[in-house]
Amino acid sequence: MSSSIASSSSSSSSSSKKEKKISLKTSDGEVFEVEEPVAMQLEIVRSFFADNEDVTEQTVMPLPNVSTAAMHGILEYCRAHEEFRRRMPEAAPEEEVRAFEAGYVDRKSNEELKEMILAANYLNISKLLDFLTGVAAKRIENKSVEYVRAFFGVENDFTPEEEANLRREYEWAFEGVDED
Amino acid sequence: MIEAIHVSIGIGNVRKGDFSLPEDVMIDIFLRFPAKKLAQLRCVCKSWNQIITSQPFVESHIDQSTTKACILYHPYRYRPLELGLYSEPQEIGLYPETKKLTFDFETLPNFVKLCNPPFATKLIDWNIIGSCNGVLCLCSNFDLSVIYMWNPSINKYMALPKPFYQYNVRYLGFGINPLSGYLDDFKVVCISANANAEVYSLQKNSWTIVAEGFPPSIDLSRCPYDHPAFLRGCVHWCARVSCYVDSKCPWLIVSFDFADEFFEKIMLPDNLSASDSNKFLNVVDGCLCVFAAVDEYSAYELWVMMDYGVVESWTRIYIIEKPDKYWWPLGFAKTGGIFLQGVCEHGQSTLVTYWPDSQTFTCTCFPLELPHIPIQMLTFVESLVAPVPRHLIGA
Repeated sequence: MSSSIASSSSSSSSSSKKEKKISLKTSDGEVFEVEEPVAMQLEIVRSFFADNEDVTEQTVMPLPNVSTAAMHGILEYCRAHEEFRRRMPEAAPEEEVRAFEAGYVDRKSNEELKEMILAANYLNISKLLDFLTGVAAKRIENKSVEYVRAFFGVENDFTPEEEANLRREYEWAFEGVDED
Repeated sequence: MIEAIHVSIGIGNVRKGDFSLPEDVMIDIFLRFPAKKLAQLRCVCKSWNQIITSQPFVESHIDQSTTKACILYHPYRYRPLELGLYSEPQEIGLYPETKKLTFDFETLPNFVKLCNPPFATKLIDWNIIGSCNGVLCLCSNFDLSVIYMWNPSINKYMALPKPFYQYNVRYLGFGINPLSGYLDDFKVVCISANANAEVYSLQKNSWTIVAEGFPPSIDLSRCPYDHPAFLRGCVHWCARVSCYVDSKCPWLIVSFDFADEFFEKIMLPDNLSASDSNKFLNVVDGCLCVFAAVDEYSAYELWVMMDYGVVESWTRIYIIEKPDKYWWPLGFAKTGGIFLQGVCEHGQSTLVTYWPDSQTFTCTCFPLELPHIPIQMLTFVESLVAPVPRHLIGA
């Protein structure tokens, strides 16, 4: 434990030294070599290395709940944020961060977004999870109940009568909903 | 391991496998929405409906709701009353002096007009008795025994049964029993002209007589613009000790404790108690406070009871002086200002904000068409709390 923490702080202070990499293996067997400060944004990885005395630099950490596709998305976000962090406090990258985040999610389909939320939840990256759930909320903000069901893959288990009753009760809440 | 890190506020009996995303992630998403959107999401499936109506979710939702000023104003007897939510502008001086001030809700970005409550036709002229956990308590100004609790965010309401002393109602107070642990343990206290008192409990849905009654020889303030202040589980009114010479009757505060259902007197400092002019009760930063008119109503002193219940802790914070009469304090802005109703440069009675630091006034919000039309202002927080007895929900 002490070795990994100590080397993480020294690697950031002396940039000339070769950066330490952490190996993460996704569900479909691909191994990602991830720079340590980026990998440590994944809370599950950080605590794995902090809690296990016997892991070494050569240890490949398996992440059976994360697909390769989701991992690419996760790392893109975490690397960008590591980059923003390094430049602090000189630059005030607030606008830049927003611009990056906006462009980042624009390229993600609803399915990709959901997959990333699942991965961010499993990897316990609270900042990314918070950002992605916000994006999901935005995407369903003005959408119909049917759209929301399809978006989240949720099955309607109300009887037609039960649903009609609920909708009647909350009739006033359905004004201004977008067409699907 | 990860499951232990996420603190789930979900309820145990939600069936697994209903979500494409874990329940705690869905709750994260739900908490970002206002009540109206959540009403739609209740119709998606049973487990969502169950989560959104569960007490833990309702509690988390109210915690992240922002507090706004709730405004009721009475434009004309023959027109419907207007009720709206006012969000303070981020920048001071939103409306430049040159802009013509016309009354139009649509052009006021910080003002959202609320729909009239479903029972509006049953009240000829109404009054907000209080606002608590997103629920407003309203009564008819012509018949104080006609009382409603209403949550405008979910449009749920409860018509209260008539109090025992229904022909004699003089004063009402609204609040919540803070000791029950529920957000919906609402109560209304009703004081009749002959000093009888009774309490309505929403959960019991009935009135109970308060055995000791209202303290004898005390007259509650009859100031029309005053409303009771709810703080620390008690509702408070300004009152005067009954005496023969009206102008000499000392002022004091009377409180009613909603947990243990008893009245108590809170004394004012001597000079405040002895001055004849009106007192307006309010709450600032969790402290009980009094606006006391001085100099023939051209100024108000703000007194704050820094330490609740300790008479020696009453402190005069400052004086607001406005070079005209016919204005009065309404409440506190989050940004440090004080809301008043008064006349602006354009000569209309409107919502004015006083800035204590610079001792300046800004005409913040909507102008009314005629002077001296009362505005009522309370703080309001959007919530999903249903003002309906728990045993009747879903029945």
